[in-house]
Amino acid sequence: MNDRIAQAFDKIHAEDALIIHTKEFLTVKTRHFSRKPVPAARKIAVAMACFMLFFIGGSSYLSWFTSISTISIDVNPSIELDVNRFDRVISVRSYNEDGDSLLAETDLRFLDYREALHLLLETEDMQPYYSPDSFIAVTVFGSDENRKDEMLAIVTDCTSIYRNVHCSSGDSMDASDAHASGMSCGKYQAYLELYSLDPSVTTEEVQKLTMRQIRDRIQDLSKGGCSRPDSERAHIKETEHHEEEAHGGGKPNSDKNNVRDENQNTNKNQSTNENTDTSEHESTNPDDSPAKNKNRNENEKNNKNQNGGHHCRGRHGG
Amino acid sequence: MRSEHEVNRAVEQYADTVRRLCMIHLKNYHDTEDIFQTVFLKYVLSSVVFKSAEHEKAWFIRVTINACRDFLKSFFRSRTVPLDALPAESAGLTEENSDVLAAVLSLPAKYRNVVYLHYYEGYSAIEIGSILKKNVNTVYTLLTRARQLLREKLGGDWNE
Repeated sequence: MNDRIAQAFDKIHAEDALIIHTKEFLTVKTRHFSRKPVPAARKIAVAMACFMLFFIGGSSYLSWFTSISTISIDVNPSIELDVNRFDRVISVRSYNEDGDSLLAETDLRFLDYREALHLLLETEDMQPYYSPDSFIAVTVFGSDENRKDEMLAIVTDCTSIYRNVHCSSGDSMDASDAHASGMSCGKYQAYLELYSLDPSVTTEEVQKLTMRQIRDRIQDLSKGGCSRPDSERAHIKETEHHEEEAHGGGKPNSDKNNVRDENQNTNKNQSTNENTDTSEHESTNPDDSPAKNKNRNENEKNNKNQNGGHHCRGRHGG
Repeated sequence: MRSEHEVNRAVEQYADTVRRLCMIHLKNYHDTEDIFQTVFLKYVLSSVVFKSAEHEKAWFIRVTINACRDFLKSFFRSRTVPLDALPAESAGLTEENSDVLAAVLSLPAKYRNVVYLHYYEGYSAIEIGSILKKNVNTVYTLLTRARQLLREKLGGDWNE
């Protein structure tokens, strides 16, 4: 067997053409056998460069698409702009139909937030909200207090040329609760303010109100002398938090009934006033009488004093 | 990288071995040419220092078998049909040689390697085990089964 197989295989030889082609191929591939092997140091340097490039690219990508601050713009349109550490708007969210139509007109993504804010406030849809009856709330949220204060100063400066623009900063802890309730952070902050005065108010109800209407209700309730001190408001929030935990989470508004019951007795007189005030407000025509407007302005001033120094009004505001 | 002189010597010395291994795995001249060139390019670029001529030969056998396997497993290869399915190297062979080669080539791939290495290159089962990274007993089993199959194909007078 050995011989027969050996004889058969012995007849097989590499063809001359195959050898010639291979030698030509090797000559071309090795540039006439002059290609020097890549030194190990260079290989390591290339690997390090690739790693650094990947690392820098990855971290830049992450930091670019990580939201550091949020600017909430609420009138009736309710919009939020997420801003990255490079002051660029990375995402835009709307929380109602008016907001959708406003955003349909403008593309704010990747613009500087100052430019985005300016573009947004310049849109045609925003023009009706500069009437004296409107209330445009611009609220800055963020976990970094210094940056938040800096942004608030810039936003206040940028919006100072527009009427009825009220800038403030908010607690970033409220953001997740706000989004869970289907509201922007700015509107949720106003809701919390109203809720501290009227625990019967629900998020569904507030979602349908304009910022002017929320502010009016706050003013009306404050005027009735039922305003809660900050410590009590904090207590309500804390109670809400415990209630949520006890019920395994959920929207903050869903578990407020217990808190409401707890506070109902203490607010009996207030509720009467509130109902009167609310019904009075709801029947109010946007074209209020000058006397009522004056009264409203007075209340607004009082309210501002109560809320501390966070709020600032545009220089040319109405 | 190896010098031109070194490469020319290797081509002259191992061209037939590589060609025969290509023949038992590939059924097409163009594929053979590809693998042939790939094996010698690997040799040119390889920095392996060979202890002896035997070591060098075993390296060529191992690299050629691996290159053929990789080629046969490749996506492109698995989805194409060779243009010339019959071996082109039949010229110069006697009828007996052709019958023996045809019988060897008709064996499953795992038997072809051991038959070639044992009956032509003269390697022992232990050496084949080390080249093919197989257990020695496995090599013995493969050789026994290959012998049985060849006996069946080439007739009863086929003896050791």
